[in-house]
Amino acid sequence: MPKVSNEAKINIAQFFRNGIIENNPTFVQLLGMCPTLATSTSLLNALGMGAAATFVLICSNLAISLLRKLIPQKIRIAAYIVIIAGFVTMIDLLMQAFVPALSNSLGLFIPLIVVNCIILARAESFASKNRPLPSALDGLTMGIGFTIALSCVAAVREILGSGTLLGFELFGGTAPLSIFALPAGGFLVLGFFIALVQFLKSRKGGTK
Amino acid sequence: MQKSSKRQMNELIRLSLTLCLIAGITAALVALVNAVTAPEISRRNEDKTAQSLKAVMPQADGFEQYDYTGGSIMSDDGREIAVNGVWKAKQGDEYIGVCVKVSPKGYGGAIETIVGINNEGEIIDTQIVSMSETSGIGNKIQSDTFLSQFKGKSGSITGTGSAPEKNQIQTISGATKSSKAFLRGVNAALTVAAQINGGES
Repeated sequence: MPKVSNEAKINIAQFFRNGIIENNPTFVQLLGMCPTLATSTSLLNALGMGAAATFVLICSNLAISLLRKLIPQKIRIAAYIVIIAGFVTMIDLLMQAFVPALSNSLGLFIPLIVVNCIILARAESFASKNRPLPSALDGLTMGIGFTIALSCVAAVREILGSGTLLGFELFGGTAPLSIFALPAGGFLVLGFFIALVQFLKSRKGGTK
Repeated sequence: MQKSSKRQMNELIRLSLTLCLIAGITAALVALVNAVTAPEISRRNEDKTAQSLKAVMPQADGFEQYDYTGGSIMSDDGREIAVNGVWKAKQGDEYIGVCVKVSPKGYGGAIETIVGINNEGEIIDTQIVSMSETSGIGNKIQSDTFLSQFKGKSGSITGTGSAPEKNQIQTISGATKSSKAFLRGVNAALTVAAQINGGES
């Protein structure tokens, strides 16, 4: 995790590398497993979920960072949850109004972003200690990392489990291995991706 | 002693006020977004209702909202079934039946259902508008094999786990609770339709 002191210059590339690979919220920190498994049955769902979570991450990180000196230590978790819940409700309403199909297929998992531990983790470990701009950037890169991880799992599961990709049929309407559409298949794919990321990280010659 | 308790009190008040302030500002922002999106969402829901009405009463070419004042219906086993709306189906100038929207309580909350019933009190078709029954178990009540059992039934329908007899439907094994909830909803709709048909013909 990059320690960004208030004086340090913001290294944008470092943020992206951190959020997408080195500290990928899903594959490395293993946060937010519930939405990862539940909404990764199709690529479209994964992209929708990723976009919604990224929006909430950026907004909540920004708001919490701006308020970090006003929020008393003793009630910080309650304050964070209220702020996060507010943004989640907003994105939920906006999705219901303007992308109802996506909102229907994601259903309960949009309101459940409130308790997505990626968001609370970034609020507590980053936004509450850093200035607004790095915090928003952290939200963006962590959100992108989450979206990429979710999309990787979802693409494999959709191709193998339903025989489609973004709704297009690939194998003439048959599903090669429908177990991958079920939760068990989700765990399998996730496990392989985590192993792959660990392998790549260790081969690169020990970032840590 | 007194001084420290006073300080604690002040601290408590300060914390509560801060939290209230944050909650208040958040609520105001959410209210703002709600004000923008609410008309759009209600319009979409109306479209959805219109489609469901057409699906349960395909012969009709128009629907008239009926002012139903009977309140909720009590089922035989003592559950209260909310009636959310009643429409009279028209074909030309003639009334051909009623559509009743009910929301019986299932395993995972309300199962919003629309039932189309003709003037003879027979079910034309049923449709589930929204529900949150367990995926893979309770949501099987949405399957055609289950729903199509209701077509043509009238009076009071009962459920059974084995082969259904006249005016019986077969509940889905493993999803008995969801099946029965849906059944209660359909029976409530039949009761409402009987009240309306009885009162006017």
